[in-house]
Amino acid sequence: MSDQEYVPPNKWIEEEGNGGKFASINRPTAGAREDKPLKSGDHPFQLYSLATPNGVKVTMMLEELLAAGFSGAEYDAWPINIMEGDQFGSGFVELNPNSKIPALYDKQAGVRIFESGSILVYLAEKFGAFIPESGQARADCMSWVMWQMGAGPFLGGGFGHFYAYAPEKLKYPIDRYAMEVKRQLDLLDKHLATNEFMVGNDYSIADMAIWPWYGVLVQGKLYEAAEFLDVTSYKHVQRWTDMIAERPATERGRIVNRAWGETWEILPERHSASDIDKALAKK
Amino acid sequence: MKIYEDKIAPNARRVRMFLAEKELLESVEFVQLDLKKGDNRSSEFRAKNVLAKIPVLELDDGEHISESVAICRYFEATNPTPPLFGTTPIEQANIEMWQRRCEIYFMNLVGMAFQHTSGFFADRMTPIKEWGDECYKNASKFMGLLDKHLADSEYVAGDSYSIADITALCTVDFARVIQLRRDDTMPNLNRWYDVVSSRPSAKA
Repeated sequence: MSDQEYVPPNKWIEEEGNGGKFASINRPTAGAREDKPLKSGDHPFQLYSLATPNGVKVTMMLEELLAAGFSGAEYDAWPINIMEGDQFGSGFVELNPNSKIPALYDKQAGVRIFESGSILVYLAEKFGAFIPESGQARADCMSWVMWQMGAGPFLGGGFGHFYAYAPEKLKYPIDRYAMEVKRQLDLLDKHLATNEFMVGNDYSIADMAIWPWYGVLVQGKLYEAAEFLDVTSYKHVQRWTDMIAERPATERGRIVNRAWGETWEILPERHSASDIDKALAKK
Repeated sequence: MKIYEDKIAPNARRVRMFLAEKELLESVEFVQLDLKKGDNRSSEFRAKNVLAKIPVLELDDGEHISESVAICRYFEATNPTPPLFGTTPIEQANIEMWQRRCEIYFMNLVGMAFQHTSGFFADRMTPIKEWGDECYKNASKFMGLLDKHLADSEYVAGDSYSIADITALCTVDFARVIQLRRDDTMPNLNRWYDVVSSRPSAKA
């Protein structure tokens, strides 16, 4: 394939799996593939997710809310195994027709929410927390959340896919996305040189949206690309990443719905604070 | 979380009803104090509330919050659904308006009428009967005003149940101790009373 130039046919035709990491579950159609209701617990919020960067955004927020005393943010977290295709079950599709994690159900309000950024905004507005009340600060917070939602796919679907998951290493897409990701890191580095958090001096959902992707990237824990992207050179992003990593709610939130890693960071389901305490106690 | 209260006190009932509407009754441990005996006047309890009044909310970290509506506000913030203080600016203002009216011109007056005519707390205050009678008269006027208001309003503060209904219901029920009662000349108040008193929270 790589020694021949690809000439797209007039009309695209689906072929057998192309060998990429998600090839076995990707299809060109949306919607439920099987009848599979979701489990539901007693808490006000039911989260269906996985501890990938987009999933961690939400569990970081829920744990921050609980730490701040918002007991109405208690939640049951159910694992969605995206490699097994759980996201195409009928119950999940009812919550999120787009079949991507995370999806959240607010039982008391009877409201479903999908897209991690939308979930962060919903929770911040519901509890009036981790979002500035008004003016420039609120606009900045929303701008950075939306920035992350738009920028993230260049890091994940672009750089991460071609550098780590694609069946063959292709110079053109890797160069293209490495350039863009380094530009994004430079943008964050310059911003964080003069701002303690993404929005001034207060921790907000903008930080929670960005940290699981760009913070974890500069920790060297994403795509094994630390040296390739020279992540240690982004000193201000490093400072901000360490500061957020030290928050108890970050340590708690990042292990929820996680099925891999060290024994103390594996917690497929979360139904109470003590589930997390027990896992972290193994550290 | 603990709440110190005397179950028979109308302010204690307000908070319990609020928690019942939020389905949070079971998340709180209730500790009973006998106000008549003066359980609330100990130095131990004054350390929780300098005014020595119930109810007092005690959080797990040892923080104390007193004043019934302040306690309700805390739970509204921690558990926003269902909203009992309104959501839109106009709902919030309307509920605040009726909540204050019901508290200042109704609940407080019924309380004063009770304290100053019954002598229930004569060991710790000076009852002035004339003042009690004056309060009774004005509370009675407010009950009539509420009846007229409810002709055009489903609940006390608009189309949905709120903290204002809780305050009004607790006051209407408590007013029996001063012989102030609803009667057949108040059809709107009676219509409203049947609705709000049949909610499960009324039994909290």
